[in-house]
Amino acid sequence: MKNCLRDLRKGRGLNQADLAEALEVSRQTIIAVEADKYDPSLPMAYRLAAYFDVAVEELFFNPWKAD
Amino acid sequence: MTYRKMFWLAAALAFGSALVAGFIIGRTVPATGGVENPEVVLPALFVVAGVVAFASWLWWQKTDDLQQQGQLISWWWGGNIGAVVMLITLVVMTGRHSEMSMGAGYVFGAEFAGMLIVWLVWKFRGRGAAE
Repeated sequence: MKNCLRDLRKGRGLNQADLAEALEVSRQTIIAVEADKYDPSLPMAYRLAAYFDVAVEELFFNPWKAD
Repeated sequence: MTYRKMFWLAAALAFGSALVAGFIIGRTVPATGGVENPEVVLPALFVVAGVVAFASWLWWQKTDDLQQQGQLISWWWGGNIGAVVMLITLVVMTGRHSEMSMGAGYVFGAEFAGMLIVWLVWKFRGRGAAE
């Protein structure tokens, strides 16, 4: 699922390892989500959104919802 | 301690306990033939296996969604395909009723039975109210 995780992360001045450590997930997960290679579970999506203090749909772009 | 260090510590504990278990089994069970007192050795080795399973569970708790998915897909597809290839090879090379083929069959059967039990638990735990 397309997302803006990379932009939000860079906006905070974090590298992928820093973000992974803060969220207690693997760096591989952050890399895969940013590259749109892996869709995280709903709890993890909310966890990511909460960390950046944004709504989930601001972080992940809903492909089934018309603009 | 950082999350990453905790993860690798749990992984080392899991793999380390498996190595120790292998050593214990190697020292307890003879190379050929069964043990003389299976009523003692069998439960004791099940306890050893239980310790390894517990250490693995501690590691599993430290894995995230992606890592768990990787493990599940790899074990299901890679593990089962590898087992089937070896089972067919043993049957063809040594005969259907050879000791090796029968042994491999027992392991494969036990793996299937274990999978079925865990799958049923998963299935019923995931049930909600049907309307």
